[in-house]
Order: sequence, then structure tokens, then C-alpha cells
Amino acid sequence: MRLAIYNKASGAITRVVECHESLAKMQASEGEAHVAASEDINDVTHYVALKGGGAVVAKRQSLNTHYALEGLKVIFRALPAGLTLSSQGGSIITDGYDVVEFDIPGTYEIKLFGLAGYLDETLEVTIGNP
Amino acid sequence: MATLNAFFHTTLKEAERHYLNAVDQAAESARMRHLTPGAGQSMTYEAKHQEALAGGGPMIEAEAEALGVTTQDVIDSVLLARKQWQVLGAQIEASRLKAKKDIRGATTAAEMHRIASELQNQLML
Repeated sequence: MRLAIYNKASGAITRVVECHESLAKMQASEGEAHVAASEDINDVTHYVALKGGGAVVAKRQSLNTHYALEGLKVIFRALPAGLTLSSQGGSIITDGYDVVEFDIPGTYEIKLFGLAGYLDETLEVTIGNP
Repeated sequence: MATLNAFFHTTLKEAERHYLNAVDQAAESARMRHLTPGAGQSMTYEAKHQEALAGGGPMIEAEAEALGVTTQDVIDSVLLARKQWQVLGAQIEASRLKAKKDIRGATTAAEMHRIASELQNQLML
């Protein structure tokens, strides 16, 4: 059978394995659990939603990211809280009103990741007049 | 609000150097929109100006012949161009020095960027 092994705290699928049904319980390590997974399930596009004690495999949603540019700042007004936002070697955990401030104009990569329910995203943002 | 300072420079002084350089480049670009670049061309401009002040010379005469105009027309043209350049050059230089002074007094890179951008916009006019 095909199993998605997931983190019980976050719902993130850590790996997908094929094994005999009798070995299913042995696949998960501490802090993990397993759920049956069809062929189209993988750790990039899916996660395990934990609702009411149940575990349901679901598609990770797009962040549908919008941002505003203000001088050397990139302002995100509606990111879900708890994402990791990283750029130029630094990172923050988002809280819903998030600002990335640069010191010179340029084109920069901003990565958004770390919430199982949302697809990871990489933005290329040009600020100022490089 | 969560803020990430994703700075390229590790100190404000480094950012200051970046923006001071940007100001110098903006001023030079503005000058070059009115002058033909090159050390030889610069010497030629100066030689023609000296000849115009002296009432004529080989460069003035050669230009008059090449353009089919009088020596006086060339002298007038050279003196007018120099006068216009002096006004323009002085404006560019004053703006450059003011922007550099302001950048040295700025406390954030964002402020330095704003000053440099304003200068660039001003010099594009």
C-alpha cells in the first residue's frame, strides 16, 4: 500500500512510502503518523489536514501573494501568520503584516515557506531603480 | 508587524558610500547629456573657448570654414555655449554637493535612497 508519512504537529508530509499493510505502523517515526495516499499525493502539492482528531490528505493552497512596494520596502499585508519569509540570508516568521526592507535598489528573491497548508513560493521582486 | 532587514551592506557607512557614488554617477550622466565625452574633446572645447576670448584662432577659423559661416558667428556660438554650460554645470554641481551633504546626514539607507533618487529625477529634467 502507499502511505503518506506526516508530521503530527504541522501536517506536513515528510515522505511517501510503499509497503505491505502489515508494516504500515513501522513507517512513522516519533512525532509522525501515516495515512493512506493515492498515486497523485506527494509532499510538494499535498499536506495532511488535522481536523477533529481525523487526518485528511488535502491539496496545499496557493498563497495568492500580493505585496506593495514603498521605497526600499516590500510590504505584505495579508500573508498567513506563521510562514517563514526569507531573503538575503535572513528570515522572519510572518504575522500578517510583514515588511522586508532592503538598503539598495535591486532585484531580490523572497521565499515564503513553512506552512503545510500552503504551497511554498519564491518571489522575484525589483525595488527602486537598479 | 514583522520586519526583515535584508540589507546588502553590513554597516550604514557602506550604504553611505554606495549612495555617494550613485550621486556622483547621476551628476556625471547629467553632464554627459550636454557634453561630448572624452579628454581630447574637453581640451578642444577649452581651446576653442580661449580662441573665442582672443577674437579668433586656428580652431575657430577651421570651424567657420567647415560650417560655411563667419569667424564671428563661431566666436558668438562658442561664447554662448560656454555661458549656457556654466549655468547648467553650476546647477548640477550645486545639486550634487547638496545631495552628498544630505546623504552624509541621513540615518537610514532608505533616506539615502530617497535623496539619491530625488537628485536623479531632478537632473533628468
